[in-house]
Amino acid sequence: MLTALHHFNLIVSDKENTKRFYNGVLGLEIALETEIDDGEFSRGVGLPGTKVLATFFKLPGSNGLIETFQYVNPKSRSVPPDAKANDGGWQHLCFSVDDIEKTKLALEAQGIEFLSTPVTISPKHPDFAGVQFCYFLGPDREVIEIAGLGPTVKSELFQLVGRTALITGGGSGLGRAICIGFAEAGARVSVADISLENAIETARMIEAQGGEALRKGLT
Amino acid sequence: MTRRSEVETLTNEVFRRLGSLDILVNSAGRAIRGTALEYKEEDWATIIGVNLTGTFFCCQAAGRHMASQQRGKIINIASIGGFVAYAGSIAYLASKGGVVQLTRGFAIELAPYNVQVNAIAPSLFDTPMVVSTRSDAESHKYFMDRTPAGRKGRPEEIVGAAIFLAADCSSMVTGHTLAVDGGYLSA
Repeated sequence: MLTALHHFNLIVSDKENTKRFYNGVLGLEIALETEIDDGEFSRGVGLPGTKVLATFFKLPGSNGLIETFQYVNPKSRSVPPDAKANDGGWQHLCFSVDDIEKTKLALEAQGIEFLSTPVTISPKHPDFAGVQFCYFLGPDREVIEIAGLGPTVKSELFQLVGRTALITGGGSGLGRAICIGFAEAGARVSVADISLENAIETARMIEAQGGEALRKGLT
Repeated sequence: MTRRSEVETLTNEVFRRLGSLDILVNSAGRAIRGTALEYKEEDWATIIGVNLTGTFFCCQAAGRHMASQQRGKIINIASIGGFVAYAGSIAYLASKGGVVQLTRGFAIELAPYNVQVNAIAPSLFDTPMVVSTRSDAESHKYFMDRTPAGRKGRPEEIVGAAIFLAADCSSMVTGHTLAVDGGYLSA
């Protein structure tokens, strides 16, 4: 029977706009770009004389795809300007995000129009309690949702932003794991190890993730 | 690590280059296997030197900076071997037992300066040191039989405990050794 989500389809008006948004702004990888202009496709979709500019985007954390079609022929009806989030048909696509506030700010900085600000679901709905969500619009006024777990504790208490750390034995094993974890939590890390080469490698791993590291050999 | 002057040079340099020294993790450690009755003097000196004396010098040198800052976190990597014994590791056991007590000693003396000193006691983790000293079948079976989780830890599984002890959320936790051991010490 049904084995997996393969893709869902979005009709768009301009594939370059679509690419700028889904690839450029949202950062989805383009899986395939192609032009479809043949009889078998027409028979498959049940429309005569189709010509389609197709762009597929990979869905993060999934094997599924977003398939976007710009119909050159026949012409599509566009989304009505008064379209609403409760209109019939498949309505929106929702992405999980790690930090909804940061994601929203980053998208707004690129001119994305939001329909709502993040709402936290109350404990009245235990299956979703604590989840934050909000809606925004894509280039064809398609509705997109982002959702993420809101901070249930003061998360900054668990972070090391602005802290400086010295880790001896940071060139391998547990020390290396701690160096990388501390850097991810925001610390500036100094890696000391009996092997300068290993310390340098840990520092490189931190820097590859955008962290900051000093390295020191020891005897 | 085993020379005080070198450790002081290191902590001074980190302090100077980073502008502060907020967190010290002592995870430099070694293991050399050998039966207790035949254990070599030089191996004993190496293990105690790196695991215990090195940790002491680092705590002392970093502790001074932290006391003057009125803020700091020290995390010593101890071991389940600081609490229970197993064969073939006499110097390691002694050094890690020492680290557990060293942690408490520094904790009470540095507490008035808002410096928390804690330790982590891992069981067997998948690290180069464990691979080089405890990868024989007999040793592996011995530890897995006594680890309720039934497996070695992955290095990234130490990180949560380390961040907890390094961040503000543990400001009232000091002198504690947190077991990250898949239940070994509880079994």
